[in-house]
Amino acid sequence: MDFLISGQHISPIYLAALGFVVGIFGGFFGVGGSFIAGPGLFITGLPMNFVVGTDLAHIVGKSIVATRQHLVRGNVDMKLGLIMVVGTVVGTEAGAQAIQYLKQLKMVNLVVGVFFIAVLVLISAFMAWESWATITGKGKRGQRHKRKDDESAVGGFSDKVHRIKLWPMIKLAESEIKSVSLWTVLVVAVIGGLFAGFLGGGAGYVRMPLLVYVLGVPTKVAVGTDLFEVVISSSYGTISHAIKGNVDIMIALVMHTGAAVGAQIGVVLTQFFRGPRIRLAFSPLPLVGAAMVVYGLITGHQTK
Amino acid sequence: MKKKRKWDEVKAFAIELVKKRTKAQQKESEPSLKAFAVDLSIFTTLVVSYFFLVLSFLSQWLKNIFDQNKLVYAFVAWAFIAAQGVVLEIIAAAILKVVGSKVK
Repeated sequence: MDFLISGQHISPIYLAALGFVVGIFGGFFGVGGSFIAGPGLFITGLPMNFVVGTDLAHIVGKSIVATRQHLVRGNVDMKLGLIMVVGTVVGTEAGAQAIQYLKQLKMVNLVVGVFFIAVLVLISAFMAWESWATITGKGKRGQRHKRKDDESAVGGFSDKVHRIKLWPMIKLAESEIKSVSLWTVLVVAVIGGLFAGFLGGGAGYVRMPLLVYVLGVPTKVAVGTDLFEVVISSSYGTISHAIKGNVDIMIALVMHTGAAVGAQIGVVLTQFFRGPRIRLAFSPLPLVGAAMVVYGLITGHQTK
Repeated sequence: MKKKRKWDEVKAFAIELVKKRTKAQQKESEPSLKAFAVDLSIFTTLVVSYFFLVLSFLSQWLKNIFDQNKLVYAFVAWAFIAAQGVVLEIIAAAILKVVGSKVK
């Protein structure tokens, strides 16, 4: 099939299938899925600028579908999501600016790259250990959530974070957090944004663990809220990239035919898994981010 | 009077679409595999039809906007992808409601 805007010839079945896989990941884990869609589009021969913009455009539609599904299940904390958007935008811009600056200093690129790989591998290993310890009943259980299906072996850390009394304090009812400093939420969002700015995409594989372990948000609410934030941030990214001529909306619409269906399946699947099991399945995802940095360091190409 | 009743029905339907369900409601509306398959097939048909509609009638038009005015193109592109998500979800939910009430 010929796509007039980007001037490419790509199989629509391949695009719909790619969207379907990304949709399931998005609905189940609350991530944008650009770490799959990006390379998937790139191998079709689509120019990199169209890969980034078109990927963001299809994420908008898919995330709307998945967020609506999570919303009716009570898995979206709108207040938290809106606050996070502010921090994410700041962090993403800072990350993108840092990349521009670091490009001038050759060795620093390597140092920062290795640092990010170490952080991502640690997150992955920690999540795998924590969720496994929770499932098998080892380790101390935190008293974070009223939800019986979402206990954690390290719940105590988020309790300590909640005790940081830095004005203004806010209440996040949907996340079952009675009091947390606004600044803590913003710092978490900025860290997620920094990874997004550095690695490209939405970096949901960093933000979701931060929401769960640092802020103490129940896993399913973290998934839903992350998706809600993705709707806003990817909408901004889509419009920004489309103005620069980087979006082939026809490709995005074909991908979305598969992604919208996949997202519905992904959301329904969360009903059948307890929080620790979702976290265990999520744990390899930060490794994909680490692989992207390794790829960038070896080839000298930025993945974003 | 009739108009107002219709409007109230539409409003109630819209609220129902995004309203958080209680645990009991969630359990009650937990789809069986069959119901989920019906839901999914209606949604899939709508999404694919929508795509072919855009492809048949608007593909060239979108290309022209892309060439002439990127700002307009940006908002039109966003509207299309958001519409594919939001509007089709609404239509699918409405069809399901009608089908559900007919079955009952």
